[in-house]
Amino acid sequence: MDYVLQRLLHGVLTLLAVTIVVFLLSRLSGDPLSLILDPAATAADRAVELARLGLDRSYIDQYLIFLGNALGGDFGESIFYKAPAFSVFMQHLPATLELGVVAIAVSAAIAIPAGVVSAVRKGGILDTAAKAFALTGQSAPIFWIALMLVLVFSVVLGWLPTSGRGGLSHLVLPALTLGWYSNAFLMRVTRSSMLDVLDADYIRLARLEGLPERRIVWVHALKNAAGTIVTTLGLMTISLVTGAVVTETVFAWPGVGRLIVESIFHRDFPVVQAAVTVIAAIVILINLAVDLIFAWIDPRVRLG
Amino acid sequence: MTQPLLKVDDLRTYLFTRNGIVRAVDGVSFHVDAGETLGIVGESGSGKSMTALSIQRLLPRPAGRIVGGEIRLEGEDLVAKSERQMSAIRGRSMAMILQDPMSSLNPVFTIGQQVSDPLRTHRKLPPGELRKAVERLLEMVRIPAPQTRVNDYPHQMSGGMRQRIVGAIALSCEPKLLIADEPTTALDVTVQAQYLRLLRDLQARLGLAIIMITHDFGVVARICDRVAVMYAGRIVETAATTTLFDRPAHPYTQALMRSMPRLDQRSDRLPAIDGQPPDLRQTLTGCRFAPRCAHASDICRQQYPEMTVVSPGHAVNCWHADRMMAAS
Repeated sequence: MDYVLQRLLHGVLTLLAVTIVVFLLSRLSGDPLSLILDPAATAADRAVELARLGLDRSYIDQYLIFLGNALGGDFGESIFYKAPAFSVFMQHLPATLELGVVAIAVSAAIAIPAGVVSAVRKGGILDTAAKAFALTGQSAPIFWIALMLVLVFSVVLGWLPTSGRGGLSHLVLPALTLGWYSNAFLMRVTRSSMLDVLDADYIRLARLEGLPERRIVWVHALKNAAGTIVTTLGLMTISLVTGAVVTETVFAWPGVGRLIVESIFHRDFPVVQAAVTVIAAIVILINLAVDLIFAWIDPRVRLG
Repeated sequence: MTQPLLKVDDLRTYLFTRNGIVRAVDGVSFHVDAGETLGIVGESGSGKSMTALSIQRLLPRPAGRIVGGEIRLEGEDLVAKSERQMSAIRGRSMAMILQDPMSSLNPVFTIGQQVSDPLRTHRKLPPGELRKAVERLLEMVRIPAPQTRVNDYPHQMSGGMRQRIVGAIALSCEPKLLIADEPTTALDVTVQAQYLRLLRDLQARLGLAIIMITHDFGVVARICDRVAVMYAGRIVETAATTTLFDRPAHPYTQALMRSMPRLDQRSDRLPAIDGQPPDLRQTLTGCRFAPRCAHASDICRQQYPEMTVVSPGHAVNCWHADRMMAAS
């Protein structure tokens, strides 16, 4: 329990640091007023607007106001959407989560068993095929894979829609694209950590006890490799929540990745701040979850 | 005449590596009677561990393969068994203890789970009986407070305790043969003696036969009834332990004995054996030990020596066995 509290406190401090960085960084990206205001606006108009948005105050004041409001879930009003920044962000979050969860679930369901089998049958047909797939998965750029998938399944075969969010059919291609790289990565990680474990004395001893090979591989060995796999899954989840920008852009998926990029182009500070802060909180929570699962799997961690 | 529990006949186990074929076990024959302890002694690379892994049919894959010979456990040839049949024999008819207790137990499962694994596989005990059986086994290997210890993980235990747990796992299904591959090498000297005493007690109680693989004559003296000395993939001398200590007949055995520190004789330097063991990838003719042997003659270098029985139960592969016996 102490361990959890300690990790939570750590998380809160990290989040505070994130808000400072976000606040400062978004101020470096330029002046929003020149985008908002009519090009014909006078200096007086400009001063009025500056005061209305609170941009005439000192940075420290601006930050403290921002932080105080943020604690209450108020990240100010979006300059572009003319709506509360927090709710703008929250409107885009489900789309990204839907895509991320499906991509993760599919790639975990494929990559973990494939990694285990290719470690057990090292040098076999599946291992060679998996290696080739992993190589293309890790070296081909995501946007290219996305375009190729669209070309084959939407343009040539006409099976699936090219873009947008809707039913299940809209989900297939973006999830496949997003899962492609992580699938390859997760498979490599599973394979290499299983190879390490399968070499261990306790696996040899399990064989010497005459235990069934299936149990040795899928229970005795996999539970030892699971720590690394869960950590990788955590990192994957984070990168899918934060880094789906390319995929979301190609498929016109209305998620947070695209929202952040567009908000940066619009110099829409409140949305950027809301997005980055909430995402940072999500990342911290995912890391905490990974740590807890790790400790649950491997009893040696609990001492630390 | 009753048949021995284990009879190994002309066993040949080769390792097919990228750099050539290593004749790790090259025509080894011996037997183990029920309830006795046979020591297999030799330096690293002499083939003693490969012999053990051949008996268990768990050679390093894909390099290791049994290319000839028979291994008969209670009359049944293990070399001819399928992988599935071997799984039913391993852990039930014969068990094994490995050298390093720190890495022999799975770090993410409790002691109780690991001790119960072979029982669940081979005996299919219901959960309630399983727990009792596990506690009894832990008690048998003298783990204090077994009821609470079953929930502990390996990292919460000392090396000596872990090796006793490994012993409990090995003996859980009451095997007739236990192969112990240097089980005390990684333990402190005091814990070593304790462990050997425990093994001897359990052996008497369970009527267990033990193959003790070691390079330590101290271990041999404590626990073994008979000893087989291995050199370069072959057994060069077999004798009852006392006979071997009193009258070693092979020049290699004699040299090993001389290189052992003794309390009753003062010496400034321990004599070492000059030279290196032969490269087992080469085709070797003659006695494997001839290049390092002070007594070697022409025939030693040309032809492998036949087995000579110098006294009942004492066999040696040396052309000059009679002369060596006279000298020892």
